Amino acid sequence: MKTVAELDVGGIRVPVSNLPKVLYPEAGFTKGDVINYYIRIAPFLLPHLKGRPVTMKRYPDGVKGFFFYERNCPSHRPRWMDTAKVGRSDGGQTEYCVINTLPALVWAANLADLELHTFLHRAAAVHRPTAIVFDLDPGPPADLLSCCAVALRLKAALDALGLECFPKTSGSKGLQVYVPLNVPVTYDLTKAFAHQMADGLQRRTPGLVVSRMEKNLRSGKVLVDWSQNDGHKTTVNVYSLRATENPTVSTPVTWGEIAKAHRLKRSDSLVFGPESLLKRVDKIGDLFAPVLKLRQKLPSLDGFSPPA
Amino acid sequence: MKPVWKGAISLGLVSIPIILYPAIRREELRFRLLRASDLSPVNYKRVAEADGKEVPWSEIVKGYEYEKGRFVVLKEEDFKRVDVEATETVDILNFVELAGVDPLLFYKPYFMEVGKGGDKAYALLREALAKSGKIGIAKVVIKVRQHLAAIKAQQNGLMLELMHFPDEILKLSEFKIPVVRNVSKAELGMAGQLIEGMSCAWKPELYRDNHEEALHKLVEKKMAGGGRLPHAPKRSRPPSKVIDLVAVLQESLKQSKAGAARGRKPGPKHRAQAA
Repeated sequence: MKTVAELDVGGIRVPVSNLPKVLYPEAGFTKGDVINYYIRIAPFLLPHLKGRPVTMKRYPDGVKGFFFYERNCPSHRPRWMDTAKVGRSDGGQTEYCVINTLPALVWAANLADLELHTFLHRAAAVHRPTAIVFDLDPGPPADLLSCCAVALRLKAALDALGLECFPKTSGSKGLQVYVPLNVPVTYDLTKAFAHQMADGLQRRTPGLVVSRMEKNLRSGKVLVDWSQNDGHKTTVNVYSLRATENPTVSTPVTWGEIAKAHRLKRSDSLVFGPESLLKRVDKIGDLFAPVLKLRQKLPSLDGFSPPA
Repeated sequence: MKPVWKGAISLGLVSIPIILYPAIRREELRFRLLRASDLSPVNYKRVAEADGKEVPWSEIVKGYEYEKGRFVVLKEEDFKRVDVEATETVDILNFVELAGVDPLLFYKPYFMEVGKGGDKAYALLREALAKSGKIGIAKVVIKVRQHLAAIKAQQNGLMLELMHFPDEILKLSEFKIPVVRNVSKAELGMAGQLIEGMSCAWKPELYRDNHEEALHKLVEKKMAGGGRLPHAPKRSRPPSKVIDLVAVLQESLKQSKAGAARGRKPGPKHRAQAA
């Protein structure tokens, strides 16, 4: 049975449907809960979505069911929904949704768009990434703790170059480290930088780090995925829910928290669900705010090698 | 029993006709997936991730994902180009000492029946292998895949055991292994006593799959009981509550706006205070 209602979102009426439908069976977390989470996190989340084309990862039948990536903003979208046309590598164009406002966010959440994946650039300048991302992806039996160890080494290397960087959990098994740039730069430069850095880390700690993509190389190691620094790639957005068994959130964490988890060999302090995340941001604010503001120039890596 | 493969062992100028049968029978209960409400079997469909539409076999190609979301496509003729010649022989390359081969490499045993006219050569190879303590290392193509294999004497017969290629085995050093240097004699003695106390002769009949046996019993009991129909699926919440849910969301929206009106700016607290 379809049950449709309307929400009044600051004067704009947004239809919502099937609110009691359970999307995370393990936790009994419903579509209504998903929409509620996105409404409550909106003040912190929207600045990070603003102007960025978004790929929606939709789970119409919940996290155990069928899912799909929706790049093209659905044609049944409301008139007030912002979009951005972006050229594809095959010459065509994709018209992405751009979630600039609270009604847009509620509308997307109602599509069971559990995960929001965004580009490193904004629609206004598609060849200019605003940050570098290192996606640390553990190959079992490596885990979140292994990622912490690698992240700390990566931070030491970036520190040595005078670059500030900010970590967040992927909300699943990994970590992502962002280096804010917010200055004119191209993907060619950021990708080359990230690639060199990943190779350097692998040379320093070959037992811990792998910088090549092949899955069979990854076992027991952490892939430092530099290839996400690409105009065609998206990464899960900060504060996005993840379609894990229990709902988790891609959460900004402090370097202190990562060092502590690494020291105590316990990573559960780095895992946040919607409720604990909302309490956390209410207390400490948006740890990822500097990623949008901090201007840093990309240094040359010629002759640089990461500290041991 | 159905043979897996028919052909011949080839070693030098000699060729021995043989037939391969699996050496292992594993009887596991098979379960089908059903819809709980009416027990209709559930099938799989191949659907495109991009739009959820079903894709017919005729439109499916194989791709290798060389980095996330990027593929190179390989067509039938590409696979044919690299196909190892599908010969019908087990080509023995060398004979080696069994003791020198890591047991980890063996993974799938087959028994070899002798084919027409091969009796003498078969018996000869078996005798010679048994006497020498060696095994034959061979290459064999079964269903378009090339395998490494060992030919071993087994009681009064011969068997073929598929082997991993040595570079497929992961290195132990890739895993967490403790390095302990100062094990005391006393501790080692105690551990040794424990092992001694639990030691016995190897009796294969002692080891059985209890889980599978218990499952069998349970299924038989249910069949005797006439296969009870499942409960109707419970609705997770009565629909009347939907209105309340909308109210909850509307309340969240109000608070979210109130927060903005209070001038609460998202940002690290210490930064907000410094401003």
